[in-house]
Amino acid sequence: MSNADPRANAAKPFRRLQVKHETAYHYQSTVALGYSLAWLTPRSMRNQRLLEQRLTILPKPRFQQATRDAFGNTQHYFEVHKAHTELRIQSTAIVECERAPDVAALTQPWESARPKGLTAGSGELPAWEFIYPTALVPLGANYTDYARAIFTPTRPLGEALLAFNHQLHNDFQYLPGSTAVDTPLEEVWENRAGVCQDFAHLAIAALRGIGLAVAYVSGYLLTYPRAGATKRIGADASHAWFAVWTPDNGWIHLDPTNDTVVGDEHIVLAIGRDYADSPPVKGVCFSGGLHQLSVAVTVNELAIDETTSGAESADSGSRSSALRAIDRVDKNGADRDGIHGD
Amino acid sequence: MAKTIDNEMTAPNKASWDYQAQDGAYDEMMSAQGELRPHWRHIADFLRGCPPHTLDNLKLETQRRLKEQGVYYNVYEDPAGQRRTWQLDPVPMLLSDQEWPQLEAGLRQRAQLFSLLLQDLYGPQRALREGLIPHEIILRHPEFLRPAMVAYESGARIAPLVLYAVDLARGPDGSWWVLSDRTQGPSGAGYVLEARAVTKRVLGQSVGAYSIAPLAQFFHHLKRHVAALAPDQQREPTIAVLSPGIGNEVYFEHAYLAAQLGITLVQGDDLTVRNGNVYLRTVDDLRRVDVLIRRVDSSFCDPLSLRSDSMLGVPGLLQAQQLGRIGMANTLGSGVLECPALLPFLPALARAWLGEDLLLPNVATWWCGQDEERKYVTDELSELVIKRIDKPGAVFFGDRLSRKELQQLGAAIKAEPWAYVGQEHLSFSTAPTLIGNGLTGSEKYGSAKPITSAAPRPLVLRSFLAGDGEHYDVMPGGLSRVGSSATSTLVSTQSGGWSKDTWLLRRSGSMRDVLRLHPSGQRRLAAAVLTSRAAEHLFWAASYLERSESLLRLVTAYQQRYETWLDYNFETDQHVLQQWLPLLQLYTPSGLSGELPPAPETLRRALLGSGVGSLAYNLHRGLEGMYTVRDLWPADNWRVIEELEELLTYAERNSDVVAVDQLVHPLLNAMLAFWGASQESLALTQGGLWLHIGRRLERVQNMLLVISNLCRQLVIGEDAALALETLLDAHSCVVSHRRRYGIELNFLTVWQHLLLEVTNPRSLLHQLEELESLLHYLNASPQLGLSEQEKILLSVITPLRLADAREWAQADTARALLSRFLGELNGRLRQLGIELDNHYFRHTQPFTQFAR
Repeated sequence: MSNADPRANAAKPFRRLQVKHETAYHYQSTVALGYSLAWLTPRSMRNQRLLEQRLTILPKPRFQQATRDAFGNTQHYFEVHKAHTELRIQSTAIVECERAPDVAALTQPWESARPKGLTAGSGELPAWEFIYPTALVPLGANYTDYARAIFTPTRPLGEALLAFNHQLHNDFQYLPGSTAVDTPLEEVWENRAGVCQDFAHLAIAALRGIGLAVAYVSGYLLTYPRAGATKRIGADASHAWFAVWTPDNGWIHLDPTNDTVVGDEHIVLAIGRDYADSPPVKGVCFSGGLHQLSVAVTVNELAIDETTSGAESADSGSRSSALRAIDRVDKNGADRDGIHGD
Repeated sequence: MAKTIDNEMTAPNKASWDYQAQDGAYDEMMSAQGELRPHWRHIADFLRGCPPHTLDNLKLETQRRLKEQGVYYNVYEDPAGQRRTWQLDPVPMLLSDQEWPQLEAGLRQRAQLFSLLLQDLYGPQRALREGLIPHEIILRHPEFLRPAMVAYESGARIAPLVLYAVDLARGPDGSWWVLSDRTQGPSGAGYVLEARAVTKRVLGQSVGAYSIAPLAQFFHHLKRHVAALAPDQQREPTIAVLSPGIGNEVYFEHAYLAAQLGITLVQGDDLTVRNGNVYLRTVDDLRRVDVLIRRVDSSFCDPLSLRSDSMLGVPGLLQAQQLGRIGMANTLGSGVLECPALLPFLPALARAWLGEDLLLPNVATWWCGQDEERKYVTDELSELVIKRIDKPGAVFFGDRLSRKELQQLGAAIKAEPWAYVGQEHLSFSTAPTLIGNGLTGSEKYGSAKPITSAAPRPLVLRSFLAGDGEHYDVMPGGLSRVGSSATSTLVSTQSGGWSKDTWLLRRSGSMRDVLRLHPSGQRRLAAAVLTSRAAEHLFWAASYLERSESLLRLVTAYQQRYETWLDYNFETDQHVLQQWLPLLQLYTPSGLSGELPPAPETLRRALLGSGVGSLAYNLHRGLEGMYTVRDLWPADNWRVIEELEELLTYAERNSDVVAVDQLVHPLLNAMLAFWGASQESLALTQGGLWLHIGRRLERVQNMLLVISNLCRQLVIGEDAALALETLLDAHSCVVSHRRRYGIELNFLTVWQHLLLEVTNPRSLLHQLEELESLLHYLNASPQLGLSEQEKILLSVITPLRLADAREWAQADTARALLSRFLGELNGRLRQLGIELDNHYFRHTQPFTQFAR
């Protein structure tokens, strides 16, 4: 297995992906003090294993802390005290991702995926966080009807999900720059155009409208799926899609931007009710004036045996102590309400 | 509880005056049969027996005292700077010690239950998993803050509910019902202290036979419980009250509570998070804060993790709480417990978690998120009180809605059933309250007909608790509020209601109510710190006040010259008046054009106008600054501040008729009284230093500005002598000059006296020397030499010490020289002001959110 050609991995049930993600803020005037939150550590979960991650922040934060947020994501908090005109956040991670599940094989009626009752028993709580509208994802008859046209009574769940994903992909045009973070969903709906984040929000609005539990997922996409292939849409920046909760098969992730089922070419970063719960980076700074944001993401495939496999490498020396602390939490709390997978 | 009260009824003791309980309602003082409840006897005797006008006076005296103490409810809310004095009814609400233990036990149990619920919702969420509370209520509530959740495997503990208040009403059967809970940042406890002080003072010995449970102990416990939240119990904690600031309706209370507890009053930008710890900006350095008594709603407390549009918060504060670096009373996210949809689920929760029945019943509440309940509510809409659970202000009284409105409300409930509850329309008990239009302002003491009488008014009692999750101390008594009309169903301070002190009566033992919260001999917890903000406000308040004074003195001098001119019509007087105009315009550039010289009426309008630099403008800025540091003022100062404000308000209201000298002298007197009180009772370390620095610096700058400007206009001659005399007058130096130089008055004597003579306390050099000693006091390390500020000041003082007034007295060109010289000194003093600001005041720049 010493073949360095990634294509040799095709036989494997999973791929090893490496992501490099750089976020930079260029300020017009000096920033005296900056506070940030970042959701840049890929989740460890049933069909995704985080092998290693390195987070480099320049200027170096005076204080940095990693914790778990309410959705089980790793959340980084840091304070930069040094005066600066540029903030760079570089994240590199190596992740093993399993192949996409066979969604078409989910033949039970789609209605079975609705979380039941208002006061159901234990264990279902995580799904319930994802059935209500949020500030960024209001519900509305237009979205609900859009879903209902596809989710006809008792239609098999897998078939309906794939059809819905496909429909969304066809009906809405991917148009970079057509929307901003604060563009209301209604506008996206009317213009029939947006970016991956908007498509995820649209899917969430439509499917929550018919009673399903749907999560917003931020993550990355393998840039070139095969040697010589064209670049994937959404691969230059952090990507986003949605995930639907199912009682027996856990969360099914679908990427309407690329009309695919999420599998071994996607890396899951963080999960929330909408974008605002776990954006890759957000922050507040004192002064600084206007500023520009630039983001660069590349995802490559690595040969499986390039590094030692699996969780053993988690303790390799170069990683920050904050991350090691998080790893311990990960191992201890691995089964906690796993949003992905169980 | 009703039973207890009934048993208490005494034999025929019919009240002989016209106080009558209302049909169907429980009256606190009198039974339906017209029998007096025994614990009300002394009050009833007093009300019955007092001579005509006594009640009028009582009511007026209560409001006068509150106004004097500056007890406001609404502050600086409308543009005219109107504030509403808090309205207190002098007749207290009485609670007998027979019913108290039961009420107290119910309140304690409720506090425990809410504390458990708080810790559960932000942790394991058993209540939701086990279906004790429908998750929709919590998960859709805007005050359920997910960033405040603590992963339970992390082992971190969620702080208990420390401060808690409950609004209670007594139903027709005499038992208490809970109307709502206050868990965000319960307000009112500070008002209770003030209510107690004023009520006891105005009633005096007239009802002296009562033995009233004292309040001081409760506040001591409150502070103890708050201090127990400090992360490091080894050192003395620094505690602060976090307030949204002067715009808040109950800012008075924040300031009052801080002053009474001896802790620091802060706003969001007084604080900064560094390395996950919270610090306070003081004039010297950053000082670690251990506990915050939070009076800012949770979601506004941190623009990083919570509402990004909030300007009231501190970036990183939530993180500091999550890391256990700061104690919060109450913890961020506690507001979700106020959700009225929780009420119907509390009895089951109490049984499940405490193994007890809920002792205090809730007002009957139906959450529309459940089918049967929704059906009931929509069927009975016109009989119920409807509340939106996510918007505290959205309350609808079904019986007041038109048919169309009822239909709309019904439709709104059907569209979002989870967002509504229906509640029983409870008829509240009534308590004797002084009514009558005694306070409209036109009545005077001893008007012809007594206008005040006691009548029953519906009452809501707010009880206060402080605790640690397990043990809670209950304030003996509380704050009662009464509705503005006999049938009023909305009892709140917002809707024009009145408050009442609430006395818990003890059977025996005279208990002196010591309102001092720091009994001597006890370790004093957490002394108050002077924040950078407070220093800055004091500095600027003093500056504005001094600027007003300087302007007033110029105006007085002008006025006198104007009168002479009117009397004799001398041309020289007119010249002086014309020279004076540019000086006045230095202060208030607008509104002084037109005829020359401007008549006093023009002057008055300019002074009282709202333009930048007018007298009214300066005084308002000054008063606003003083109000912001409300917690710092000793009583003497506060009285004068009140008087200043009253004078200003009066002058502004009557700006068409009030004469200039009618305005000037009372204001000047009040200012002198203010400075006298500051000198006497405000310690330098408690802010006095900044007040004096602000005043001195402003005064010397005004002097330099006025004199250098006048210099440029003067030529030797008769006009000049008159102008110089007017200048002396404007600086209160006419008499001292005459005593020093006799009738001689020329450039030399005036420059010498006004600028250089150290023995003249009004002279420039004397003022600068005063400032010098203040700056020396400010220098934290004098052993290392002069501070930057001292150096600048020295560069102003030295040339003056070396100066020779003769050089400025000779040729006409000498005035130009002097003018330039003084202008240069003024430039250095401006630099000094900037240095002070840079070095000592908070430099919070506005923050921005990262782009996405």
